[in-house]
Amino acid sequence: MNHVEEQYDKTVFGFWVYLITDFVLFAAYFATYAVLQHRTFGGPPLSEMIHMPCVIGRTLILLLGAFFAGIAGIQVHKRSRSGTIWWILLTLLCGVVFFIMQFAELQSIYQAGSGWQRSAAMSAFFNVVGVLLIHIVFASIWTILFVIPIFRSGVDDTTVRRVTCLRMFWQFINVIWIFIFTIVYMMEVV
Amino acid sequence: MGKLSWRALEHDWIEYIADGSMVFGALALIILITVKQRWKWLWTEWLTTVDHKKIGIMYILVSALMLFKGLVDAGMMRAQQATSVGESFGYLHAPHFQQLFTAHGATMIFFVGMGLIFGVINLLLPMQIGARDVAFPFLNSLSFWLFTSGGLYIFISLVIGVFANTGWVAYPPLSGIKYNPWVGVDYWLWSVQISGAGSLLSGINFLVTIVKMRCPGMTWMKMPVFVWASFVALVLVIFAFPILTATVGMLSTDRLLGTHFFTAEAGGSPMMYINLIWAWGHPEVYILVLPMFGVFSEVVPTFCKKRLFGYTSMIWALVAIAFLSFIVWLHHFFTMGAGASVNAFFGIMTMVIAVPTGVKVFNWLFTAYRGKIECKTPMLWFFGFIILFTMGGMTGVLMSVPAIDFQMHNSLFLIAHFHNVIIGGVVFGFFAAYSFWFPKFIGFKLNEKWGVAAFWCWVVGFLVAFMPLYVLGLMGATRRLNHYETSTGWQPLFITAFIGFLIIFAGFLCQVIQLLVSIRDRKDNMDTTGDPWDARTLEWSTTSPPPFYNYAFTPEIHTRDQFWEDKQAGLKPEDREYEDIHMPSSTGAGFAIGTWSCVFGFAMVWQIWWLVTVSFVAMIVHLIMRVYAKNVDYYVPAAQVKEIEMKRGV
Repeated sequence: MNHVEEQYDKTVFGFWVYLITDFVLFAAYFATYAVLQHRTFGGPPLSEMIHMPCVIGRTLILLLGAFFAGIAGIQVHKRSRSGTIWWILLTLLCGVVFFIMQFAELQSIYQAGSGWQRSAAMSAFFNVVGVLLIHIVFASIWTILFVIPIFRSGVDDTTVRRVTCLRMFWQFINVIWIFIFTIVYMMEVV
Repeated sequence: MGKLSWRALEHDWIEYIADGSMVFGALALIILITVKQRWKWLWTEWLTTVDHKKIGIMYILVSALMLFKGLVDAGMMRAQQATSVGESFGYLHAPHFQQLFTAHGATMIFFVGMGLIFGVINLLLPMQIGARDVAFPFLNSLSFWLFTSGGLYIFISLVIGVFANTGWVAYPPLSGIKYNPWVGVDYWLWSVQISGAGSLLSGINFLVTIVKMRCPGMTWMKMPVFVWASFVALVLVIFAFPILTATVGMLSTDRLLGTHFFTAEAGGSPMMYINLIWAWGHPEVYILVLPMFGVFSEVVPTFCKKRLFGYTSMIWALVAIAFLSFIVWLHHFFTMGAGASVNAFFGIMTMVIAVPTGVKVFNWLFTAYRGKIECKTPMLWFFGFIILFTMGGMTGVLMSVPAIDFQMHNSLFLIAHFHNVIIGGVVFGFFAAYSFWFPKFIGFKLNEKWGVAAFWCWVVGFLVAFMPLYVLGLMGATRRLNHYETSTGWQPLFITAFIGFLIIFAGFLCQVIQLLVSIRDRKDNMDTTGDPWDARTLEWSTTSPPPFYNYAFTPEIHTRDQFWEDKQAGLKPEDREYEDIHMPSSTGAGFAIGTWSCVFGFAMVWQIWWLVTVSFVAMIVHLIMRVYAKNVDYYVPAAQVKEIEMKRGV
């Protein structure tokens, strides 16, 4: 292997390992949520404040984003400049729409008087969802930062490596959302 | 300026002495560097370096400074407890005493223990697998600077404000905003959070290094045991440290944003914190000790002139320990009241973990059995380790019985137990590594006489300092006492423990003298062969100190002890054409981000929001600049490699 291939190999594997650490981080949050979810301290349960069709809608949008990220990953390996840019921007678009919808829900819950200060259950809810939103913010900034060089000078070895990691990160966000969807939302309404 | 005001500088006279000597020391260092005109050298050779050997040395220097600080804390506590009895209340105010035991624990675990193991891993790991650097050299430099920034808060809090008064794991609700409204706990939080991020990055970095960068022929079961031990410890870092980040983060939001994870009101659960912190905390003690097991597995075969006994069982024991370390955390709080069956499960698991550890102890002993033992200092530390560590292990198994633990919980018996394993295991392990690998990385051997003196001081001092604590614990003395009644009859034992501390401190001084004497006499102790101990692993095949690229040719191995077997067979490396070597370039980005992270944490502690914004943006900008940076690597031309190799007399 020459050092470009080595670098690709190490970075992608290293990124997998990083994703493991991020999974463990969320595992701690999920454990906390599981312990605290019924401690609403007299406040209304979460199921009264969420609108399930809307949740399913934004889930589909985010999943679509992960699908686009997958295509972007293929395009960058084909060294297609326009393909990479378009698909990764579509991923970004899905991420941003999801962010806005999720943020609106959090805002309405907060304004209804059930903010994170209300009870342990609400703290745990805002925490696990909020940290995911922070991940989306970083993923978005990161996407924009990586698109600019591709726009300017096309796809090179560095770009392939970076976009591969980036699409893994978007897909990671999806996997975490699936867990939130199941553990937080589904468990709340069934 | 947020919460910051002149009140932050008000302390008692003992703290002023500490502040003064610290500021004086820092000024003296700055003046010295300026007078010697070494700023440029410091910047280009050390602060911006991405060379794993230099980063390793810096880790160890920082940890040594921290060790001194932690030892002084310990001595002050022992002096207080020896004198604060009956009518006398000793010389420390209660708030100061509380900060001392918190700072002592935090310093010793986060900045001495972690610093030493990452120092040793940095130095040895790439060398032992025949690599030229780590997988991500810039991240390595960043990890080091994050670690150092975290450590700085322990010193900064001495001068500006206070440190936490909660004990080193900061249990809520005491560490919540209600009972701790000022900045002490915040300093602890940011210290742990920032250095923890550094440890996590290091964990990822070295794991990838082991998986992807082993030299040709080094299959998994041919790796040196130190590499295996580090690998297992790094897996623990990867699975344990995110839990710490999450837990400490939630405690931060409890204090800052008014969430109720761990508060005593609105449904919060302080016990949740204690579960989470120990789900990190128990693996953490194995993160500290496993690499040191690796060190002993290199030291013992070398000084007994025998192959390591039971290589495969050593590896499986390591893996078993790693697995078990995640299912014993509840033994830190059997008294929580989880019920008999839960306690029984965790009690039994804790006993089970002694089995793989016992396997390792016997393997080392069988390696030494009928070997030609040379009692050089590293080997002495091994003997000290095997006795003290086994003793500590036994008392640990004793406490793993929940019924007994109910009596021992939070007593000095516990304190004696964990010092027994941590000093006996981690600290002695590091000292063995220090005297063993010093000639490899610095170029000359350490003085034996002072090394032996240090060894005896540490062993005797340890016994004198901690055996009384076992007895005191059985007599009912709890930990963290700053005053007790004469009628308890504890004072003679506390005085004995203080004397023990003095002997340990004498051991520390012996080591300082050892270093100075060794530097003075370096001409007589130069290591010209690169292999002063007749050792077995790859790092001894290059010169001492190694060139910055470690190996002119990537080594290739076929057996576990290839270097040793080549020596026995009288094989010499054949002459080959030198090739261009690909190396990473130095970068100031790690230093810059680390420095800004320190400012960021400080601003968060004092809630100076404009500074929080500035430092956060600065960190991100430096990171982006690094991402876009060109010239991150270069080639050392073959001609230059040849020139360097010729000069080194290879």
